Order: sequence, then structure tokens, then C-alpha cells
Amino acid sequence: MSNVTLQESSELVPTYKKKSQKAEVWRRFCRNKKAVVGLIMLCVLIFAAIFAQYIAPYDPIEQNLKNRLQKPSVEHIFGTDELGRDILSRVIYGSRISVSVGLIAVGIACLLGGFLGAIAGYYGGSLDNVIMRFMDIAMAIPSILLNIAIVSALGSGLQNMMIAIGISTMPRYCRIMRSSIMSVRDQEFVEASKAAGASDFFIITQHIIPNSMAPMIVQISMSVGTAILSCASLSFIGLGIEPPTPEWGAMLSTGRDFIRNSPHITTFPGAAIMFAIYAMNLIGDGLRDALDPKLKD
Amino acid sequence: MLKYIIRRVLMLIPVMLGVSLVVFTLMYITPGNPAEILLGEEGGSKEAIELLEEEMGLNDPYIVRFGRFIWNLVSKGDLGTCYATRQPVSQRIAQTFPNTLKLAGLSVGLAVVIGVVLGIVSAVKQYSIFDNVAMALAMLGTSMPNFWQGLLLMILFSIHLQWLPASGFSSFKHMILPAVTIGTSSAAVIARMTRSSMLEVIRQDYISTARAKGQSEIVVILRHALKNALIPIITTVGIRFGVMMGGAVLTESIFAIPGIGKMMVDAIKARNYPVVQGGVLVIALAFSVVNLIVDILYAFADPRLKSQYR
Amino acid sequence: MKTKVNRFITALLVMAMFFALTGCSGTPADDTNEPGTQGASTGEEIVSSKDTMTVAIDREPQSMDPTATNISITCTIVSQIFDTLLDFDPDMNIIPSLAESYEQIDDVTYKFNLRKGVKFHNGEELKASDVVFSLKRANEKPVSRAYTQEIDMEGFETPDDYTVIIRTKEPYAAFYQSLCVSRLSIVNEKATLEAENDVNSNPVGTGPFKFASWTAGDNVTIERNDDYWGETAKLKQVVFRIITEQSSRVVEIESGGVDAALVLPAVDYERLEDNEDIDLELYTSHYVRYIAFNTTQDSLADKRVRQALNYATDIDTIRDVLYTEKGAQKATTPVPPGIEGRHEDLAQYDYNPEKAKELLKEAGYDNDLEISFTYLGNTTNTLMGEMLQEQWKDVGVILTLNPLESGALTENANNMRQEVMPVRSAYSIGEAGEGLMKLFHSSNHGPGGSRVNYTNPRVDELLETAKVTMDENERNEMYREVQEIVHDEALMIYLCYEYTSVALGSKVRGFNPIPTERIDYSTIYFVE
Repeated sequence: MSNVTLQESSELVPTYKKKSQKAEVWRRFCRNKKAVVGLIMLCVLIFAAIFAQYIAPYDPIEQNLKNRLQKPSVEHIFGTDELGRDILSRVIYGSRISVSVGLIAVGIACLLGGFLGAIAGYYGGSLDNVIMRFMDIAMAIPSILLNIAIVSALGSGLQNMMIAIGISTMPRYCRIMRSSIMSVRDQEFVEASKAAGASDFFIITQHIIPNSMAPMIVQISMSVGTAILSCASLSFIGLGIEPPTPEWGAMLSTGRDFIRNSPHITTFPGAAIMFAIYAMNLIGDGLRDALDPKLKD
Repeated sequence: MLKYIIRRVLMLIPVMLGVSLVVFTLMYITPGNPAEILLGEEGGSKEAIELLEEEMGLNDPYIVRFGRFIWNLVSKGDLGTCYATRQPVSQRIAQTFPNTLKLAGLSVGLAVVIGVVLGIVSAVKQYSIFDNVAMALAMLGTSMPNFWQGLLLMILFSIHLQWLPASGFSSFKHMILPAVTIGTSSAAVIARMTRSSMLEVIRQDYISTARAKGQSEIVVILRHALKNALIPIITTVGIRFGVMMGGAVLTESIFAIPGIGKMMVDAIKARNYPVVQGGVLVIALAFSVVNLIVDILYAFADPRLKSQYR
Repeated sequence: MKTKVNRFITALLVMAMFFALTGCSGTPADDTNEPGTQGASTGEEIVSSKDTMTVAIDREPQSMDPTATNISITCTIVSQIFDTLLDFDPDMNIIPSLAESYEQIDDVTYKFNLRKGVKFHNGEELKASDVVFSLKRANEKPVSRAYTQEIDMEGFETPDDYTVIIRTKEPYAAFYQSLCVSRLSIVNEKATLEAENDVNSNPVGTGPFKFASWTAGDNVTIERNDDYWGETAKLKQVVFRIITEQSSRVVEIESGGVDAALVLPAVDYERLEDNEDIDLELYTSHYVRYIAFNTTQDSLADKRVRQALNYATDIDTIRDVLYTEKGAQKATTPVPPGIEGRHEDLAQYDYNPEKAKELLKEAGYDNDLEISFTYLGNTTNTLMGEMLQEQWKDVGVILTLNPLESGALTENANNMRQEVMPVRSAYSIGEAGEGLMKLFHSSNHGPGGSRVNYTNPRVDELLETAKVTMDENERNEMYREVQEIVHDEALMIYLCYEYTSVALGSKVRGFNPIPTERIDYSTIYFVE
């Protein structure tokens, strides 16, 4: 079979349908006020992460031991932490870590889980059985314990933390991908493509995945928040990222020892975490409504 | 149905074996020596470490150790002995697991009550102020890191108001704060699920029929709508409960609850291999059993599904 | 509330009547300058009927077997259940315990006369054979072994049931002190043999308290031994609750959920002191905190580099931030104050970045020295690392922070892979030689050592000679020389002698801590 036919077969029906679907979903998403608010919150976060060095009033790691544990003031809007560092600047810089942990950890989970799920769902049979039993195993171990064990094995640090969180959330993606693939697998346009002699890889990537994306997208938006929370949990256990990198979870967990005297040093990183998770949840909810045709009125 | 259950139970065996192998391997490649850790931060002498290693059987190769674990488990039902307390692992689990179960039951119960009520009202009054505010509040609970929320609750209710004890798990009063801490983070998910599931059902014809028959709104909502919206709710609650089988590590630490989560984290940190092994096995088993029960409950909630369980 | 006030008024009236009748000025029940009674004991107090004490402790005990204890909380609990032959009083004097009297017969032979009629918790009477059994057993156990090394295991003699003769392999200056550690507690031979693998669930000793229960992760409970040979304990029950989160321990003592809380964060000292319902006790303990340079690492083998890093560190500021001014004492030598043989005339390296830069240049570094700081990832250590990083940056040293969890950390340090590391070392028998040996003798590299892994034949020789020198002055002279050498070699940055903190409810009396970090709970009681 030549490339030309492959190209043609992919352009058959779905592309047109996909476009209109996307527009429809986007329209519905925008009608949902809460979802739009979430999107704006996320934009604020990403903006802060990209332009941290221009927005932050101070150097986030520069200490000023004479100015420790200052309450919020005009000079330091969020006050200063236990080493006299400006909390506002640390929160702003912290968005970089949280955004990247959220995206990369979820990216790992999504790619790995999605890939395995796609294979399992598409081929079925014993391959499916092996992969899914393996996922059952991974699911049966609580994710926080799995995180701790993986980080203990690999050593702490940002990179390993992202890998650990990624691996422990992977099974969920695998399952979702598998079940949506199984529902798409037998539909007509896939049959058509098969008949046209397209390779399995081509069919999976060009037809099946785009058509089973909806539940994945919802899951992604929801688990970014979970990843940020897991990151904070690991910091609490003492397996967080290397100091002095400002990271919300680490700020919160170090701050807990000071919470009785200087609650402000936990309030702001805590609020930042809530802000991020809230944003992702609003978006996730909005997407779910927008993607679910049953909720259309 | 019975056949289905038996098949599911049989399938647990390879999964449990897999869990053991994965955890065993993970712990094996993790740096750290339980003998050294047990000897404390000042450390013991080389001689002391060697003596302890011998006692713990750490000098045997990987495969011998794993084989011994499985053999003891299968032949004697023995999970091994905790390196630290020298109690049988099964005894340590028997001490901690009931606390975790209680905490799981209470917090999920609380989450269900809050979540389902909020969800129903939100669905019935869709797009009202109540709907928006309730959903927004519920979601706040999910977004808050548990250990922080726990500490704040503790400071408010134990120090300032002096209503509740700060930590421990010996009476019902002790259980309130931790249950609230965990429950609030699940409530939003359940509320959300209840709401959308109810919305779907409410639009169905038989609800209109019930209304038309002149039944009161409450009866319509609870008897007809909720009953049919139950399945997704059960799934969500089931997953939450299943996840709780692993304990709530952070909440248990903050409130000093002797639950299985904290035991596991301490054991991983101390490379207390027998406890990690045994603990994970029990957690995984509990998780799988909860899943199985949820699946069976489906059948009861929706008789149409029964035929699928063969 | 009202009844409490009423009871208080009644108590006052009763007291007033008592004074009026007897006409004598009331002597407070315990005015022996006990830390526990400060401030509150202005008049006679009425002993409360409350006889259960709940104590928040910071971690799970290691074991109930005395031979397996080397962290302070485990030692404390075990020492309530067991007794040793000799003991320390709160001023670290050696006092008789199970041995009623004792004498040294020659350089290596000691005779101990046991107290008669001492009953173990299982009803058995203490015999000389129990003592021999206990010491022999301790010699076989990994942790306690370090303290029996000097005892000649073949040299025991028991002329009768109440006399034990113990021989040391060679003259040993700190022999009496070494018998005071809880690791060498006397156990009951019969009970221990019957349940060798089960000592944790049924430890049988002679102490003022009996073991009641241990629920891992939750609590250890001990109960009064009514047949105790000494003065019976005032409390009926002590519950040690394991609360690993320090902020939760603080909340517990502040909310009145526990009667005492151990190991508290220094940031809270001030607030706890201001709290009328709480007495905060800070007392010296025999341990030192320092930042150790691993001298087996290339960069740190050079004395100039170590000195430079000492000069580059503003340790006073670091100490104040980590422990507050109230929480710790300035350290000038590895031997904490109150220990015989401490060198009193040494001073910390001053903070002098210029000199540090010079020394580094001399050593051949030009803003390109990279060092890693390896530590257990907790708040105190993290802050310490962050401050060091900032200070050393000023002299051109790049410090990378390498937080590890306990498992990886011990493995790292025992294999001498770390460079700079914060360490805490205890002097568990209150004697300079034992601690210095552990810290600086070349045989103690790696496991159990001080993490400086130092080798110096002169130091080795001094420490070995001192150990067998029975003359106190000669011995102390040698210890002082060791401290001088070590100081000049700049093996470590002395961080502080941290005070041990205990927060007590204001109704607790009779608190007598011993600097080895042990607390005797048998003297504690409550007042109304």
C-alpha cells in the first residue's frame, strides 16, 4: 500500500467530524462560567511561572536573618519566612515547580498509561490480560506508599518525584484508554481503515486515540491537582525536592513547625496549592460537562 | 453470580503474588540497611551491625529471601516478625488495621452524607445560588492539603475552642477531627458525582410520570430518582473506601493515629521489610475485596446488570 | 470550674488552719531546687489524687529489652522497668542501686554487695546469678556489647547469692560509670530464658514500674511496682503516647491532652513559657551537636579547608535561628559542660570570611570548591543547610544540599561517602573518654563513629592510655590534649550544646531529669 491511500483513508470521515466536535465542545465550555474562571486562574498560574523573575519583588532564595518571620506588611505583602525570605516571591517562583510537576508527572502517567492501555484495548487477548493484571497490581498498592517506595529507591529530588507520581497514577490512564479504545475499536471508520490496509500503529494513533480522547482529557485535568497534592505529601514525609528551591509543598511542610507563632508562613503556600487545584478542578468539571453529550440541554 | 465471585476471588491470587514481588523488589533495590537504621542515629559498631544482619537474615540472596517469605506465608500463614518490636507482623497489622477501618468508615460515611445531600440539592436546584455555592465549598475541601487542614482544625478545636481532643484514636471524640479532615476531601467528589448522576435521571420520562401521578417531590427525588442514580455514586464511594484501606498517611501522622498507613511509612523508612511486605499484602487484599463488594453491590442496585455477572 | 475554685479555697483554708495550729512556717514539700517546682511552689501544695500521667514522646521505642536501647526515649522507658547495679543521681554522682555497696579490690577486680530481698516483677528474688547472667547476655547483644567490652567474661565470681565479683580485662577508669547505662540493666535469668524472643512483650525487671503494654505506633504503658525495694513510685500508671509530629505534641500539651511532652521545637519555647498552665523545663544534657567534616574525602582532608569553613560560618546566628537563644548553649569543644575532663579554655573559631578566603586560596581553591551537605531531611537540618549555603557562598564555596531519608543516610555515612554532615553525639556515661573515643579514635571510622573519620596516631595513643589511667588528673590532662589537637585540626564546626526540652503541665511536681536524658518517673506526682 502506498502512502497516498493511507493519507486518504485518514481523511475519510472523522476529521471533519472532529473539527466540528472541537468547536462545539469549546463553545459549551465557554458557556460554563465556572470553567472559564478556572481557565483564567490557570492562565494566571502559567503566567506567574513563565514571568516569575519579572513579577517577583525579591530573590526567592536570598535570606535576611534579621528579618525573620515578619508578618505581612507593605514591604513584604505575604510576610517573610523562617529565614527572612520574601514569601510572595517564593510563592511566585513556586508556581514553576508546581506547574511543571503537574504537567510532567501527568504527562508521564498519560503517555505511559495511555500507550499500554491502547495496546491492551486494541489487541485484547492475552496481551490485554497481562497488561491489565499488571495494572491491577499497581492499583492495589496505595499510590502514596508507591510514591514513597519509588522515591526512596531512586533518591529524592524533583525529577524522581515526578517519575514516582507519574508511575503511581499511570494505571488509571491505562484503564480509561483501554475501555475507550474498546468502544471505538469496532466502529465503522476503523473497519474501513483496516480494510484499506492501514498499519495497527497508524490506526491507533490516527483514529482510535483522537476519538477516545475525551475521558482522558477529563482525567488529565483532574490529576494535575492530585499530582500537586502528592508533591506536597512527599515534602511532608521528608522526600521532597532539594532546598532551597521554592516549592509550595515544602514551604507548607517546613512552615508547619512555625504554625503556632507565625501562621502566615503556611497560609500563603497553602492558599497557592488550593488555588492551583481549584483551578484544575473547575476546568476538569467544565470539560466533563462540555464533552458529555448527555448533559447538553 | 456465585461463579462470578469465585472467579474474581481466584484471580486475586496472582495479583497478590505480583504485589508481593513488586514490593519486595522495590525494597530490595532501595538503598539502606535495616540493621543500621535500627541501631539509631548514633549508629552501632560494625560488629553490632553484622550481628543484627545475621539475625535478620539479610545476608541471604534475593531469591532465597523472597522464597522464604512466600513459603512461610503459604505453609504457615506466617507474615514474619517485625524487626523493630519483634512482634509477629500479623499482630502489628491486627493492631493497626481496625483503626484504619474505623477511620475509613467514619470519613467515607461523613463524605457520603455531605456529598449526597449537597449533590441532590444541587441537582434539584440546578444553577441556583445554592448549587454554585455548595459546589464551590465542597471543592475547597478537596483542594486543601490534608496535613495542613488537620493542623488548622486541631488548633481551632483543641486549643482555642477546647471542644475536642487533639490527637489519638481511643474514643469517638478522638475520631471526629481526623474523619472531618479526610471526609471533606472526598465529599466534593461524591457531591459532584451525585449531582451529575441525578441530573441525568431527573430528565427521564419515568420521573415526569411519577410527578404527574401527583407524588410529592421528596418521594419522587428519593424513591425514584436517587435509586436510579445510585450506581455511579456507589462506584465513587467504593473507590474512596478502597483507597482508604491503605490508610491516610498524613492524617494519621498529624493526629497520631496508630493506623496502617503510618505503620507502613515508618516501616518503609526503617526498611522494616517484613512489615512492608505483610502490610502491603493486607492493604492490597482489602482494596481488592472492597472492589469486589462494590461490583456485587452494582448488581443489587441495578438488577439489569445482574445478567452480566457470570 | 466552680468546683475547682471551691476546692482551691478549701485547700487554702485548711492550710491556714494548719499553720495557725502548729505555729511553724511551712516548708514546701520539695524545695530542693527542683526544676519542676519553680515559680509555683510558693506555699504548701496539696498532693492530687491524680495518679496517671500521660507523656507525649517523639518516636516509637526500639525495644523493651534493655540490651537493645540506645536512643534516649527507649532508655528512659526501660530504666523505669529495670534497675542497674549502680546509678547516676541528677548531678551525675554515682549512687548505689541494686548493689548496696561496692569496693575495688585491685586494679581489675571489683566486689559488689547486692541489696537483699529485691524482688523481680515475677516474684523471683534478685540473686548474684542474675547479675552474671545479665552481663553475659549483654555481651552477646549487638547494641549493649560496646559497654561490656572491658569486662572479663570469664572472671565472674559469686561467693554467695548476694555478692558478685566482676573483673575487667585491664584497668578501666570509667568502669563504675559504664555500669550505670540502661543497656546493662539486670534482668531476671529465669524469665528471660523462658521468653528470650519475647522480652518485648514481657520484660521482667526490678524497677519502680512494671511493664503493662506496648501498642506499636500508639503507646507504651507502665504501672507502679508496689513491691519496689526503694521508695515506691507516686504515680500508679504512666502512659507514653507516641506522637511523632512535633507540632502535634505542642498542640497536645497546650490543649492539656497530655501531662508532659518531650522534644519540642525551639520556636515554641517562648510561647510555652508564657503559658501559665505549662512549665517548660530546659536542662543540659550530655550531648553535642556539630557539623562534621569527613576527613577521608579529598577536599576535606586539607586542614586549611576545614579551618576556612569554620571561619566562613557565622555559627552564632545559625544557632540562634535553629535553637533560639533559650534553647542551646554555645559550644567550644566536643565535650559538653558538666563532664569531667572537658577543656574549658577553648574558643570557637570566629566568623571571619576574609581569613576563610585566604586559607582557601592557600589550599589552592579559587571560588571553585564544591561540597555537599548530606542530612536527614527535617526542618532543622534543612534550615541549617540553607544558611550554610548562603554563608559559604560569600567565600566562594558552593554547597549543594543533599537531603536523605534515614535509610539512605545511614548507609551513606556508614560507608563514609558523605562530605559535610550534621551530627549529634551523646556521652552516655557522662565521661569524656567514652565519647572522645567514639568520635576521634581511628578504629571508629564508619559505623557508630563521629562521621569525621579522623586518623591521628597521637590522638589514638592518648585515648588508649587515658582509658587505663586510674589517676583522674593525669587522665583529664590527656583528654584536654586530645581536645586541643582536634580543635586545631578543625574537624568539625561546633554547633551547640542543645538543652533538652520537656513541657510539663503546671500541676506536675517532682521532676528530676538526669543529664543522660533519662527522666525518673517514680518521683513525679501531681498537685491540686
